[in-house]
Amino acid sequence: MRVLLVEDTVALARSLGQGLEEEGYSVDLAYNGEDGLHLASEINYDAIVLDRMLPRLDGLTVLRRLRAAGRRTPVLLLTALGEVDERVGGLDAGADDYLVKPFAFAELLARLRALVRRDHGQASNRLELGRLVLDLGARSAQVDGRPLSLTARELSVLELLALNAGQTLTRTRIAERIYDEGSERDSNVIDVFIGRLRKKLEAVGLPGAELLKTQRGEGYRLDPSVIGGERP
Amino acid sequence: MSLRLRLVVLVGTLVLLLLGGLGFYLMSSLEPWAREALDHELDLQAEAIEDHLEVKRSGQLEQEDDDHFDHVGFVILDARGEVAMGRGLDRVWPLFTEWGRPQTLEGTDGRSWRVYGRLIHPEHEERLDPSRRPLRLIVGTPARPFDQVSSRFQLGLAVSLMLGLFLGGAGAAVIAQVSSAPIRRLSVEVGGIEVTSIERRIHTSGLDPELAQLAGSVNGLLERLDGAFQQQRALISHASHALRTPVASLLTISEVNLRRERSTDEYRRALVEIGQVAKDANQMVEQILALGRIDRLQAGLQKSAVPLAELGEEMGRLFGPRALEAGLELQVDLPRTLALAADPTRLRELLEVLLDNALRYTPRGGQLGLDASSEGRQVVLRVWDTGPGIAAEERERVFERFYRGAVGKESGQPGSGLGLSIARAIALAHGAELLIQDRPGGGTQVILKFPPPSL
Repeated sequence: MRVLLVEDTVALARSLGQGLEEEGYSVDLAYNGEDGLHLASEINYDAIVLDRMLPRLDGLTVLRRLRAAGRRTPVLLLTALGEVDERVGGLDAGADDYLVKPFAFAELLARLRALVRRDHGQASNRLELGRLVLDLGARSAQVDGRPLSLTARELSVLELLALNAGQTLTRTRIAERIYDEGSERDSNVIDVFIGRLRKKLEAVGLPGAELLKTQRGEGYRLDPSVIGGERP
Repeated sequence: MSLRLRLVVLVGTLVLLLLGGLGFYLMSSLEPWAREALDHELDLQAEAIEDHLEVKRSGQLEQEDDDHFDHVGFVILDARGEVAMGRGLDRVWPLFTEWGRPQTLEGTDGRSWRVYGRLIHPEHEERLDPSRRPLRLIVGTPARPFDQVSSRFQLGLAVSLMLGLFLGGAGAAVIAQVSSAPIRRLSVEVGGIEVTSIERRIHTSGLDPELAQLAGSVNGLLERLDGAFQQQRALISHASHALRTPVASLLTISEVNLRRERSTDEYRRALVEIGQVAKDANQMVEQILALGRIDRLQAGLQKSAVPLAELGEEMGRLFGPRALEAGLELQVDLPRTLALAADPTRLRELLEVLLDNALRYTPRGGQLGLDASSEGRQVVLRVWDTGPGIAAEERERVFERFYRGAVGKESGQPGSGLGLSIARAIALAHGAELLIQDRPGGGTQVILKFPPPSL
């Protein structure tokens, strides 16, 4: 899950970034509106956490320009302005949710999950694909009710494919979602992750290669029908 | 005392003084006047009696038209002191003493009489026995008619006094009622203005000029209070907003770090970070409080002669280590010969704000400084740096409360946006001018022009 965090207060931005990364998100940081808008226009994020008062370009302007450019990325507006008018203004400018400072980090996480979920048309954190069940909230995977041990990155790849079940995702697209701007990116690494995932799935009795299908020359696709899930 | 009571008492006193004074004057002038009239009447009567008096051939005295003189009594004495003729004055005349002048006598009948006596010469006086000549006439009339007039007058006066007092009092009460009605309306209107509705004003239309003036004064007061209130409210609202970000930072840092077990180093880093944020938040609180003090600044200035060299040394001690840490060179150059008439605490506060700004926003390797010069009798302080400068269009706005310039915001440095508001307020309280300029050679310089010390 890749998230853009636009916040000008360095201390807040850093600790938020750290917290999100530790939760398995890959996080890009921008300290002003212009940089934020640039990143948001270039990269297809799963969600954007946007502060309202920013240098150069304020949060609302960034939001309006994004929406005007046709970007539908879910945006969580973060601000010290908590009055009703302010919240209404923020939501009307195209925000999907609004969080008033100071907030609990756990609430920010919950709202982010909800945003991503809604963006993928999911009503709950539980993603059921036949014998495989993913819990986006608890960030865990289960097979036949038994927990499946995965690293944060492996889980991210699996979640991404599961949320887009039936669609073929290119290696670049997957890498984009898994790594932030600062990381060394190599789309071959994705093959390694897929390989490990397949092995772990097969170890608990799932047909790894059929579930995570290789589309030659294109990328990977998750097909839930092979494990008793609905065909998307 | 209520307005109504005061008015009633005032009118009552006026009526009392006026009617009483008039009555007293009339009384005191009526008595001699009435007496004079009476005396004149007595004289006339005496004349008439004399005119109608005749001496018969027998030597008897006779009065023609006797009934003519009913309302006066008289007695005619001959030279031997015997009564030759008389009527109605028996119980009075023996007490008579002074001839030729009217006098008031208490008769043996217990009544008061006005009596007048003189020599007379009746017609055919020669027929009278010479030993009986000359004849003397005493006329008298009861003084009662005058007393009656006087007491009737007194009664009238008393009645009119009472009536005057009553009517005057009632009139005054009505006038007070009528004239205080707009005051009461005004009072109700003023009373209806609460802390929550301080933006309301009193309607001055239809008010008497005096009351309109009062209402105008009250409105002026409300205007000033409202302004101060709004300023205070804006300060509180801004302050709470400004403090939300550091609080959010603190919460996030602690929550994120508590979500899992960490190494001692990681915890230490988190604590250092929390300490830094708290320190910045504290500075913000200090500045908000300082801003709250600013409105009372002018009155509270405790001016004394501040030797600039000493001030410079103090600033050097305060900012030298910070400059070193930030990789900056601090140059303080305040001549020993200069001194300023200023409040030393406030002046220090002002320089701290300016130096703090210079230090925060000047990139590593740069310089900042504090120097002073005299221009004529003016002392000019200068705080300068080699930082990014302040854009011309921002030079006025940076003095607004909570406004942070682009450089400040982008630096990621926490800041309240209050420092320069405080600096300017302190400068203004000292009558000094505060200007932001480009420094020749790059950077910013803040010029503080202090007026010549007033004697």
